[in-house]
Amino acid sequence: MFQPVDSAPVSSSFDASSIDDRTDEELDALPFGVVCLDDEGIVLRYNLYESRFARLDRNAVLGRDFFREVARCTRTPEFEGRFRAFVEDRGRTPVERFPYLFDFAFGTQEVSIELVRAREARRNYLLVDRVHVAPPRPSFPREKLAAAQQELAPGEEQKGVRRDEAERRVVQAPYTFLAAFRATCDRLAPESWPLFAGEWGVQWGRRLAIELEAYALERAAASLGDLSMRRAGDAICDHLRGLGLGSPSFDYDFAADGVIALHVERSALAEAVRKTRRSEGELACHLLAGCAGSVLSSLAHRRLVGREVACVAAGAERCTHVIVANERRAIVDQALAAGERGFDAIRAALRASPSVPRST
Amino acid sequence: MTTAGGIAKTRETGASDSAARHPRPTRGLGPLDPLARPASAFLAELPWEGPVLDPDGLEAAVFLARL
Repeated sequence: MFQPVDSAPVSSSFDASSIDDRTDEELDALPFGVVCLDDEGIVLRYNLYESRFARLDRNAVLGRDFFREVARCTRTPEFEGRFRAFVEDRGRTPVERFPYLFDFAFGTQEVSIELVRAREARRNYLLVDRVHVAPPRPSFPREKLAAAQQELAPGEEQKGVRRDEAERRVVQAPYTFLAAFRATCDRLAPESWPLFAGEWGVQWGRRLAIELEAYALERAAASLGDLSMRRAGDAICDHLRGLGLGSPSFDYDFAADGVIALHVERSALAEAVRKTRRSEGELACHLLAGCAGSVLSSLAHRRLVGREVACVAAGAERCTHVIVANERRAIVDQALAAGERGFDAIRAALRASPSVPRST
Repeated sequence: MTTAGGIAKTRETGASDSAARHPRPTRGLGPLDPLARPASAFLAELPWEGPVLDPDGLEAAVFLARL
């Protein structure tokens, strides 16, 4: 039985009306759903988190009537009625909050909703925080279920669109696609690979954090951060392994020094370099380093960075990355620039820094 | 992961309860199996340098997105 949630509002710690000032990229980084509706209920903005949990492609949702086409389960006095009254109120009530139960064909989601009015526009934001996910309610009328992706965009498969079990659009690419990408970068801008691939990893990691949060809520009924460190780390590694990027594993032996290591066997990125350039002495897996730093940042609530410190492409037996606080990034980068390689050498450089905590 | 208040409070209650069942470690690691502790609690107590971002804040999430 659905019980109202008892929790502080999403907007408790910020000026909720400022949500309208955020870019789409910023909304995509948020760990809760954001849906922007005009006064008629047409979807104007839809962030990544909401897209993942509703299993709807953003492109299929924008411009549609939220209550009649997208989330038919919200066409009730408790939800749409509140929204209409909120719009009529013209911002005199800045935030309205209530619990609700979303019904999808694939399951139910207990959510906490906040309605927020944009300051200077006829736009209204639904902030959607997931409390609990559960199997579908058999008794719920099928015609009132929230829309599925194939309803909003029928015949996608015939148009070359592939989706996974969570309705995410996926592209299955052969290994040569990755090798060709790296070879292109080497040919056009060889010095840019570390910067480009590292930032690519950071951006990817922010999105991956949302994927992993969905994984945790759907499969373990808990936020990723509430899973044990071992299980959360395994979830991250399992995801990367499932993509075919190699076999990663975290090493927490020196966590008390503020350093976490990530080892990767058979890195596809490293092997792409070996196949295309046969060069020695080069680090190649900046993508994974950036990604790992970004995902752990979201868990640690700190800005952490990942750096590859040993690579198969440079002759190492396996690739190794370190994740450290952003404030110690310069120490790692200086050591790498000086030619230091390997976890022990980088850790020694970190220990030599006067501000680095030391284990006994 | 970083949540912006709301349900995060509920989830944190679970994390805090779990943390309370374990004695607070002296150097950020638990007494028996530190990796069995909630990931957020485990990572939060490591001796990173630099500021902690408000785990409940939208600003924190946006800050991370802008870095």
